[in-house]
Amino acid sequence: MRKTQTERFVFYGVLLSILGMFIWEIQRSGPLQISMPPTILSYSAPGNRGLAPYLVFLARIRQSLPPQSTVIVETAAGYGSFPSSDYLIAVGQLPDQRVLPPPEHKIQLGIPAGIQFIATYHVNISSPRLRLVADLPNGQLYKVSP
Amino acid sequence: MTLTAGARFVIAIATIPAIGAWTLALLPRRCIKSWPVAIVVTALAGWLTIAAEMAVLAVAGVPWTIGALVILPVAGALVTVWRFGRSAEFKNWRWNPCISVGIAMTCCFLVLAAYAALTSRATSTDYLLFWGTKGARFAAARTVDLRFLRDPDHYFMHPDYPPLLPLLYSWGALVAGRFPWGAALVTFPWFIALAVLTYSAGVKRAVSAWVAGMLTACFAGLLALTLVVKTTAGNADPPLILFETVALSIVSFWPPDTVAEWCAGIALAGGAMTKVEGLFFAGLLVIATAVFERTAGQRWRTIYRLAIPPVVAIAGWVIFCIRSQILSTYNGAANGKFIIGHLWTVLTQMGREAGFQVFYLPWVILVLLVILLKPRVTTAACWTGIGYLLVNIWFYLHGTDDPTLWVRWSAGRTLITVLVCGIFAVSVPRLRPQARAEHASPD
Repeated sequence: MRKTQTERFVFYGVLLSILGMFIWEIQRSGPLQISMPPTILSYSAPGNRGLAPYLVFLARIRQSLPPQSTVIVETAAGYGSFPSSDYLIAVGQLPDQRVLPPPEHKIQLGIPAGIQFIATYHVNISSPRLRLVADLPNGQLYKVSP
Repeated sequence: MTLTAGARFVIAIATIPAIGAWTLALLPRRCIKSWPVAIVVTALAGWLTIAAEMAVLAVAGVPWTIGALVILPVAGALVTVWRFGRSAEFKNWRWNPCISVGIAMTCCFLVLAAYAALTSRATSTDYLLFWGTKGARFAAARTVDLRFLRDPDHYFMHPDYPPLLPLLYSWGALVAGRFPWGAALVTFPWFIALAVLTYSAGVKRAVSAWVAGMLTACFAGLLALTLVVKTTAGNADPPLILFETVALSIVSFWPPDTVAEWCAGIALAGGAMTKVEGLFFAGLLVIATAVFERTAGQRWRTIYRLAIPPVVAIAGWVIFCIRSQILSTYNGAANGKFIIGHLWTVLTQMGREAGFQVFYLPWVILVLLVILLKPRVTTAACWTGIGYLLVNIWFYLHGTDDPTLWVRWSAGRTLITVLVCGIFAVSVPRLRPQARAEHASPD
């Protein structure tokens, strides 16, 4: 097959249109920058970006949690008939810890047995058994007293 | 600390081709005559080798260690180096770029894909919810963590989804010391680059060098753009597309050949072990290849060479799931009843997703290429794409009361497979398979 003017015109046009659309797609999803973003969702689809502060929160509490410790991450999503995506994300972000789903009742009504740490994200709780370990912008990490 | 773990993960991925280098000593010399083919073959073989070793160790109850995982592949690689070191064969391998414009545009699209992934523009939430989570958890447990998978609270992580991608993540996490969520996104451009290399090596057997270069750039651009727009970085869609590309490339561009067909079968097994959709793709491609790409005398031999690897792989995985009591997807438990009344909703939502948020550009380009190249309609790629579309519609009709959310969530990604089939369909030469075998040029 020999290349013709038509082939040349069509292929160049096609490639330029893909390139243009690609650049448009990249610049509309966030500012052009060379550095790594704070989280892996910082410039993702608009519906997912709301999770970025939650990822930062989990990364911060991870530094304060000992390996193999048992932790509950309480968020506004709570715990209904099935675990929320907040819980599933915490399970992945804290792979060295045992993450349990929040209880169906509010934590301050009773802390489940065997829990060593409780992290609260945009949720306020208080209990004489909780000792503050870290106070973070979007929440707190508590150690549970026996 | 993060940089160190990330850099180690990247090194782990970069060593994958070395782990698969043993295959070069086994494959007949006619199969690999160029660097692009050697890179793709060793990369995929390395990934499948590590995954197979992890599976065997998990079943045997032996914890994963880097030493246990690399000892056999390293020995195989040393044998390969020793064999090739004694012959000058690999010096004859070529890296023969088609033309500078095509190569430049291809590289440009790959760089854009890498940039989009590493600046978190293409991250999938499924990566956070289960693909990456499984990789991180398996690496922490140093095995396929059945206690984690059996936990009822983790049901929505799809315990019996195929494990190939989480095993790759686990390999990287073992080397890195932990799972670096950001650095693991480097696999996104890696998968796309391997798919582009595969397509490039095949298409230049079918059309002129200049057209092959341009088609490769189109393939790279459309694949990278749609995968970025549909936020699939970290998800299993890019590796699924890679395995599909390898299988499509072999059946579309290579003349009938025993070893090549077994390789296509292994690629289909890789796809089936990457995502559930890969099994349906395998079934469709086997049937379409037998019908459209082979003569009556070749048909049955082709069917069993293509079908046996995915059937064996999935059967092994399903048996493991049954014995481990984690079977849920493969027994159809997640499917609702068939409701034909949802057809209009499904079609309209799929039509909407088909726009890829770029004004239907991929399909416009496909139509332009059909007009320009006048491809043969009776090809395996063409009918696999049509079949895949129909199978997806059939599945969406088994949804819940309102399939809208499900279609919106997944249709855009499944349509990328249809698009890839379309690109292969326009690239396939107008020659019939028999004539193609006579005209086949070495890669």
